[in-house]
Amino acid sequence: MILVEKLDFTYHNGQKEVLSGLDFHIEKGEVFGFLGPSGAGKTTTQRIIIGLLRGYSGKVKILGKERREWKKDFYERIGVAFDFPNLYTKLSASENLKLIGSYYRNQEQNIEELLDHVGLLKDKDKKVEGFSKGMKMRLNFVRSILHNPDLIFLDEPTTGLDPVNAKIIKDKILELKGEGKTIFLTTHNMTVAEQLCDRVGFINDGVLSVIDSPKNLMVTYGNPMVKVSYIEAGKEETMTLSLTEMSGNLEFHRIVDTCDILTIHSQEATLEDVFIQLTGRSLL
Amino acid sequence: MIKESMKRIKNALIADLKFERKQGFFIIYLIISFLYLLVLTQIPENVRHIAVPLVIFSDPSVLGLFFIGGMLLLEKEQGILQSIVVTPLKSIEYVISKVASLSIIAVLAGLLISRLTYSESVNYIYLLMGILLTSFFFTQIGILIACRSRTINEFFLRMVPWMLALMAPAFLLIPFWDAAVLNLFPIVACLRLVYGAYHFNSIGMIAFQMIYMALLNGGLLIYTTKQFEERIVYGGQHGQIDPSQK
Repeated sequence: MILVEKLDFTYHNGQKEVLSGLDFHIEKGEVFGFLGPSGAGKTTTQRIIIGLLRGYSGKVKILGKERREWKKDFYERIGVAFDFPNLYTKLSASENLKLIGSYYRNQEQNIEELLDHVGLLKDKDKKVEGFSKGMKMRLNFVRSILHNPDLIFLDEPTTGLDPVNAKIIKDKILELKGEGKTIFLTTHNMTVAEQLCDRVGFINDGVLSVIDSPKNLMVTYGNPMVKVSYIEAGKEETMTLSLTEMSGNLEFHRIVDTCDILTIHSQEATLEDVFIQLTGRSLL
Repeated sequence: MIKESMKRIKNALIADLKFERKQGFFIIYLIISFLYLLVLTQIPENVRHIAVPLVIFSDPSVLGLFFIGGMLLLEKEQGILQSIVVTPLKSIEYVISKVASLSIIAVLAGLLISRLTYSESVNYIYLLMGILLTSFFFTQIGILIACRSRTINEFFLRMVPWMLALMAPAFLLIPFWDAAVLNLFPIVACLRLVYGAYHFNSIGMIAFQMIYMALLNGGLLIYTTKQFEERIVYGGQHGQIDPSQK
């Protein structure tokens, strides 16, 4: 679906390379997460692939063709939701969708059904200027998929959303994946990445340090520990031991056999821990 | 291909007219037209003969320029432009739609003012062509200025030198009213076209002014589209400029 090889990019007014030798590919039906802190090169990479930045060197092959060779019909096949909700504020939700939707060949999607999916059906005739940030973000998201694209680019899709609204968007992303859509997601939210992405790439200072599934990264770079809380002689105690030591650790077995266990939690590394370990920088 | 393009332009035009209506552009146009009417009906008939064409000319030129700036920068401010550039709507279709939407208002306002204030015969084909060619030209100039501006204030500041350069040649008409060479200045060609609808001019001259302005508008359309691509589509949020260096 997307093949990027040796991608370099420098802004006109900059001397420093913003992207340096990026190599990655995204398969059809995959949710690929691009993780990195602000200014790491996530949005720049996305804008090059979408076709909003020129002057890159290297190979960016998308939907079977080099990006430079695509014309405007490219946008019939992809959907884009930027991190900022770009909407006609004086128009209603459904008017916004109808207007943008009218530029596409494919207009089969039912607007009311889409609005219903993200809980906006009852607000379809309200002006967007009265919408909360969460409502705008949901409408912005729906707008990116209303022409039923094969490939969807989402930039920080859950930014500024409360947990309920974030879940609505995350569920919809998984539903799209289930329909075979390919999703390129840029975020600095590792929880979102863990929950949604088949694979993630860590980018920092324009360099991709690693690409793998969140699970593999956490296992490979983490040091999984287990924390046990228990009551012994009327007093609450805790014990931490390595996951691999559990079966052979006599003290652990004694506690399990003789004490009242309160909780047992595995303490595997988070994606954030792995990111810090690999890049020396935090995601925020 | 052409059918699809026409469909997109039609839809963009509907979107623009809707946007203009919701942003109150129509109301402003109506108020201005009403004020013109008020003034024009109060002045003597012989002055009105000259004033009506001038007022009608000022509508698509000056007002068109003002409105396109407001429109484009509002779209920029609301981020709408960013969402439009990732749709199949081509830059040239976007520009044509913007120009057409303001030209429609200019034509309606021009015809209304003309009908209500001018009792003698008017050549409406010349008038229509005059308003359209003037509107196309100045709206495109407005797009060029708006592409270079980040805020409405910046747009107005940038507009001053453009306006001076474009409008100044019109003053040459005072000493040299009949000088044919002045037709080379777009403002003069446009003004004479609109004026010609009320006061007969030679067909040869009108044909020259129409063809000249049509060619100029065609060339300007190519340039405006290119500038729109450079500064808006590939300019985007941060453009080719490193946001951290801004």
